[in-house]
Amino acid sequence: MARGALVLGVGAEEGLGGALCRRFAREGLEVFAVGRTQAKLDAVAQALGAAGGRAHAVAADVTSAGDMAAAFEAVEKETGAPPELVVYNAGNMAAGPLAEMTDAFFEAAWRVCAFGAFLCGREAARRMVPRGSGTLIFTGATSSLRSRPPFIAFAAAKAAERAVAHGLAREFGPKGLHVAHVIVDGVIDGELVNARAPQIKEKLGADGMLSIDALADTYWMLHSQSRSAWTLELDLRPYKETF
Amino acid sequence: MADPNDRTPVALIVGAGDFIGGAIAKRFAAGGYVAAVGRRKADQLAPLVEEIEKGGGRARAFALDARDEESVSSVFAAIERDLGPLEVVVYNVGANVYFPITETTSRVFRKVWEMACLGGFLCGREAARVMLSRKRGSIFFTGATASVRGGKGYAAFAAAKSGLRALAQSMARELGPENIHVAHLVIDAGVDTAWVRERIAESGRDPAQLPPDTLMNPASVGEAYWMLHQQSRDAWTFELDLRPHRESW
Repeated sequence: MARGALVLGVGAEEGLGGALCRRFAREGLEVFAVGRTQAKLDAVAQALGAAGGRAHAVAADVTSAGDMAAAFEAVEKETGAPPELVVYNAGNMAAGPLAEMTDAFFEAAWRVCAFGAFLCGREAARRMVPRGSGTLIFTGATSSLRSRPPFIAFAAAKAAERAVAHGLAREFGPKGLHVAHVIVDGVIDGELVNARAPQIKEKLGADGMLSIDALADTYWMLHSQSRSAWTLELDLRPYKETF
Repeated sequence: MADPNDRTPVALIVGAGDFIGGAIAKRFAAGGYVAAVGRRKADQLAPLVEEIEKGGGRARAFALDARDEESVSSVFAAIERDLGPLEVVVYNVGANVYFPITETTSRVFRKVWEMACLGGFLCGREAARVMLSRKRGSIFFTGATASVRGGKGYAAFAAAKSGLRALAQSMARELGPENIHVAHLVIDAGVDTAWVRERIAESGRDPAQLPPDTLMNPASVGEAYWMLHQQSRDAWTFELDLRPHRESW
């Protein structure tokens, strides 16, 4: 039976979501890349297919309960089983000055980070826990632990996402589901930042940013841990980072 | 005297006693490192060295009192001179004692701090000195639940372990940019060792009646140290926690 990996929050190939898909495909998992933009997902899936992996592009809104259920359903339909590995990697780094912030802006940050994480966790609890094994990893950020402008909406949402992850770990760890929360405490050397703010790479230098492939290695390590000694939370930063 | 052309890197485990130090040493020996294992009474390390050598690995025991500046510097010097370049140093000295606060003597408080915190400073500083000259290496500290939470009866232990964590954090910030990976592992549950089983028996419970996976397998814990050392410097972990899947916390 094929083993499925569901990666929620996939954008460009050269982003963390894309790197996670590549890493899991390399380990022989059948990858389901979930994101908003069909064209980007198709590019990720095609590249994986060309490299000999099995991959599917699933366009979905992770803040919709129906879409979340459908994404898990797609894995079961194709592989005959719930995913053995799920990563909730959706996030938007919402930034803006508080006095001008609209209600909708604040709520949108919360929906993609916290509410989507809840939907994902609930679906995992329903579908993966009965099997008694599996891994669910949430991508956290500096903002999961620390709120500072202009990331107040994002930090409030990421702190809530972390609370979802910790609660899930305590409830479902004893039932065999490994829940982990990865605090990405640096700037990711990926499309999101490099397209939006290329000056950051110029300022930090290549060594000053987190490599998406190195990040993906640690996600895979977490999935490889024996249930005799599981990690709920770890942080990741480039060696040059001041923190 | 070692072959001067042999530059096999060395992993030093300080506090390779009855807890997880042996498992960490075995993991690094299996990964091709010379395992240097230290504790106060070196003769107690003979079975560990023998086990590693039987498995095809290399190991050497050192009498090391981590609280003694001279003992620490002479062991580090002897390793660098006779064994090979130190690439990994794990500070794993335990000092887990339970005393209600009114029964905690100043002698206990000081001794626990010396073992859990001062020794970490002495070994960490010595490790930094040799590693900075090569600009590479890993320095890992074993933490505990008490590193992040003071529990009832653990005033001395928690104070010392919090101190060790602060030391590790400061060292990580200082040495990371020098290509030295400093990490702190929070061991947030019991590990399945003879010592822990004795403590459980002392508390009036029968360790044989524990549900499976209540205690962590030392080898699984050792694997986490190995994995941290394998991380690319493009994404290093400073801190992670470890507990068995059944743990409630």
